[in-house]
Amino acid sequence: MIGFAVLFIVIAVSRIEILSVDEYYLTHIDDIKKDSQVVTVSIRCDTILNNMDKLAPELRDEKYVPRDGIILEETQYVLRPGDTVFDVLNRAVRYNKIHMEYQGERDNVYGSAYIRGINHLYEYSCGHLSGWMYKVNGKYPGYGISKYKLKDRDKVEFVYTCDLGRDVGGSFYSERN
Amino acid sequence: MGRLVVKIVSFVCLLLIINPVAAFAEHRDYSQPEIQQTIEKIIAWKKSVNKNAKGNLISNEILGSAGTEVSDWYVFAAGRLGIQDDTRAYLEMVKQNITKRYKSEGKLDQTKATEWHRIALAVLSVGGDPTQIGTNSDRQTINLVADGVYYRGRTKPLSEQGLNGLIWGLIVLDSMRYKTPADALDTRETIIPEILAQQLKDGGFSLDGEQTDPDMTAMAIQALAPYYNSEQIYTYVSSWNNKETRASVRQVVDQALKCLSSLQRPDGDYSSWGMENAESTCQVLVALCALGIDPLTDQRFIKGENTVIDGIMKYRRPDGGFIHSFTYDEENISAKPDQSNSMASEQALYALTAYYRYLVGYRSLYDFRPEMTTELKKEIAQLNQDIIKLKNSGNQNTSTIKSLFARYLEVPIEERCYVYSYQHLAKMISDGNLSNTSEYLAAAMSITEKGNGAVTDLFNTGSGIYEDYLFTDRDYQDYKSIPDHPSTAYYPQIIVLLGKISNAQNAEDYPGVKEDLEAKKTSVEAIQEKIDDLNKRIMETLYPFEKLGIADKKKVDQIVEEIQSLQKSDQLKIMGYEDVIRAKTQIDSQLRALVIGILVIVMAIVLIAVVVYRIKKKRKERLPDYEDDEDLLCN
Repeated sequence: MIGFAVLFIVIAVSRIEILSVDEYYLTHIDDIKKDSQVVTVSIRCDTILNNMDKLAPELRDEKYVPRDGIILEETQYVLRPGDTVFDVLNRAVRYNKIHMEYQGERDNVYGSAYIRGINHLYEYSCGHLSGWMYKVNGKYPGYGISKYKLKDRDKVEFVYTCDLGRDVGGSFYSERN
Repeated sequence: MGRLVVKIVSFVCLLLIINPVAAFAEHRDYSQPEIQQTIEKIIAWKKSVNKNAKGNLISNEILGSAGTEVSDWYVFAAGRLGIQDDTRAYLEMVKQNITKRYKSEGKLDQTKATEWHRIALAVLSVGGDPTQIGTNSDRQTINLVADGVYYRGRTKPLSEQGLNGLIWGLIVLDSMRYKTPADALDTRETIIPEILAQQLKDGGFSLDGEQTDPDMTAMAIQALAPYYNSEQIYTYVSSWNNKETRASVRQVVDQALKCLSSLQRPDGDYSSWGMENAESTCQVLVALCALGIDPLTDQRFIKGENTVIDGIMKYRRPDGGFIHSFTYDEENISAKPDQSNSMASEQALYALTAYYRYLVGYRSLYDFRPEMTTELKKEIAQLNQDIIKLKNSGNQNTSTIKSLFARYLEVPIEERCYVYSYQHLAKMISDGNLSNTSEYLAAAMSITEKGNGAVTDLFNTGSGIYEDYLFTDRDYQDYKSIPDHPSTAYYPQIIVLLGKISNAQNAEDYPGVKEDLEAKKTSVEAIQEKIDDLNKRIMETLYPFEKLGIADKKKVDQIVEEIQSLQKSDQLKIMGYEDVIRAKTQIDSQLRALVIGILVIVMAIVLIAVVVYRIKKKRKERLPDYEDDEDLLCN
């Protein structure tokens, strides 16, 4: 009898979660385990630090342009099946409460979601050659982010360019992301 | 010898490998009916793509994206053709779109003035007035021309996004010969030299200040075309060499034309960003038409036998649409070399429309004023002819030149850009050492304050748009098919029908329809507001997940309840729905854990109490036993 009492107290104290399988999956979907498929995402705007004179006056503040240029440092996320670069970015900015504005696929001529601004930094916010670009594993795909399907271990980097990509190792042609 | 043969053979093989799907343009002098047919087939193609083959070009899909690049240019083309279509619905939808976007901080866009420009042109093309459309947060009507051009500087410089902001700003200003007020931050006098200053060494224009691009060069010409005949000399600092330059618009445009001429490919088309493509070629055609340059005869733009039109037709597909490029473009993976492409087709559509207007003597593509009187058209056409005649005659006597010049001065200043041969007259005047007293054109362009864009039915299909519209039984069936509580998906349909019934001659035959449609419109707008509000609250409440606790339960449950009260198609517009469910699950399980925890503690306490009670009871029961035994023993 006392044994049962002790058991109950232990359970109460430890506050074990009692969930159905579905509920567990839903709330732990982003837990990274040894066999999880993952991707990393980072968002940086370093190039602006070298072009502060071109930056729109209302954005000259650390909350828009962090001192180290890092808006989101490299973070790992579980890769869900079918995730595109857009899906992962959307998750990352929502989870971290980072401002992001995008144009949906349906309203875009290239049929892909188009990132207008992240952290209030928009296309042309730092001169007429500025805007967001994205790299996967160090290369610029140069086409829409909702068309790029990710694989396990992919590294996604969103970088802000102030020179049509030339200051971030991108080609002249990759203007839209 | 053998080596040379091998070299030649392998070179040829290499060519074949690189260009296996190259198409070669065949020269044709396309006739006016053929151009019309081509235009009609593009429209038929687009309708079939929208699965609306028998209906309108301005389909529900296009209406749903009113105010974006996806829709506006097709609407623009439809307007410039004057075809019968749901243009009224577009105006209504774009008005809603503008009003909604004006609520946000950047209004139409944080940085791009061209959002205002494109929408203004689309609105004009379907007979609307961009100086009064939509409502801002101060409950005043919006003036796209003011906000997007001459007062744009109050928010951001017009050139913030580069050359495009200036080019399209000028095109919008001249679209109706708009007046700029005294306190305008940008006027023709400031914008024109800013554009001129961006000309590169080779005469071309670019996006990045270095690499000449045919599209940008063509668009710069389109913007400057109304000033080609102006004798005004502008002073500016050239951006490519930082030197002070003095030039007229004509001089700059002539250099740009030379550049474009040299860039034209053997098939008549143009290459941009390393790839021959339809769009660049289309922009050049529009530029030529703006200057009255005949693409079929002007040698500068004919390579071999191939004209710019041949260049465009090279990209035409049997289904009537146009492809972007024959090379697979990694940067534009939705543009396949063997599939008609939306952007290419849309530019082909309006470029050929520009050409058609040029052929039949209508105003140029970006001139939305009512057509000239027949007399004025005749006068100008005759003047153009006579100037050419004189130029070719080799006998340029002073009195003839003077009389031609006198006729030129009688053309209203804001129409002088249509005297296409003026450049030859100007040359004869200066060669003859005569004085050219013509007024500067820019100063005379400030004429219009407001008004609707003119719509002309180019193909004589009998448009009259909605003026004498009759609401049909088919329309009525359409109306009946809208459910009592429509979701937001029905919005375009409601707008279309409302436009029809509002302008129908026979509205009395369908009593109650208009009121009902208006009520439905209001209710759908309310749903949309609810959706927007929910999306906002989701962003504010849910993240980060780690911080969510039982205290947020009420907020989250409220959100879930509101989402579930929406219809399925509206629920799809909720962003992060999955996250909401997750948050709710998380909170509920936390709550459940807490409740179970409490229950367990309570049970534990009860159990302990019971156990203690039993122990005590047992102790009490046992004592008498011992006493009994003692009694027995002692006795």
